[in-house]
Amino acid sequence: MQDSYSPLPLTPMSRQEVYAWSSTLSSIVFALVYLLFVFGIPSLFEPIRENFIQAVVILVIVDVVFQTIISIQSSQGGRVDRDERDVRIAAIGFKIGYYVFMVAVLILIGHLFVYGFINSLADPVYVGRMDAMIVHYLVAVFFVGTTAKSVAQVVLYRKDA
Amino acid sequence: MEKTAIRNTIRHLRFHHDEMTQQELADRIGATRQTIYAIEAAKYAPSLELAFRIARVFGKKVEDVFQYDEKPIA
Repeated sequence: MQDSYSPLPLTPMSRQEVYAWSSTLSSIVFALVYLLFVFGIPSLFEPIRENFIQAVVILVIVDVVFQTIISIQSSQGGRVDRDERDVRIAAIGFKIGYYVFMVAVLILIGHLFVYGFINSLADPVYVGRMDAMIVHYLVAVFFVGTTAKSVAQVVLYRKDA
Repeated sequence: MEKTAIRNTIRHLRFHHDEMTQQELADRIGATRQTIYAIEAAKYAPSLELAFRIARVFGKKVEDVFQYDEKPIA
């Protein structure tokens, strides 16, 4: 058994911290793939645009396999893998993620309102053509909130380490 | 997390309990070793329940394990 009497920060990550890291990485990768698919330069990112569904399916499978491996490895030790500190860090992460999400939503609403208003002056039927982009914007905002939550959790874990 | 105002003697108590490791203490109170490390380093203030559990492991009162550094009110 590792001697943990030493005051030095011998802190291999707990299972919840590993989850936070993997959540951060997967949300960033998902966001990049999605944003490249929607907003990427067509000529440069054509492979992603052509294989978007495949890319997402592969990412989901990799994420699920990774989480399962961590879960199996942790359960073999028979130790506590989540305690009150993990719950508190998760709560703070969700709070920060919520604030970032709300700010992003407000910015998006403001942007859509101003942009739609200006364009509707020139083209009265413009508003009816905005639906697709709104969906993409909302997905982007979702990724921003999710990433902020998991990054905040990682930062809190690393501060204690 | 920033340093808390709560000091503790857990390291000292572990040493005098057959050099109990952080992991052994964590297993006995149902916490992770990372949490024990954070408490010892005064980076995390445990809940009252966890504080009682830690104190019980060492056969001490809570106030013998944890001390509150009260800052003078200006």
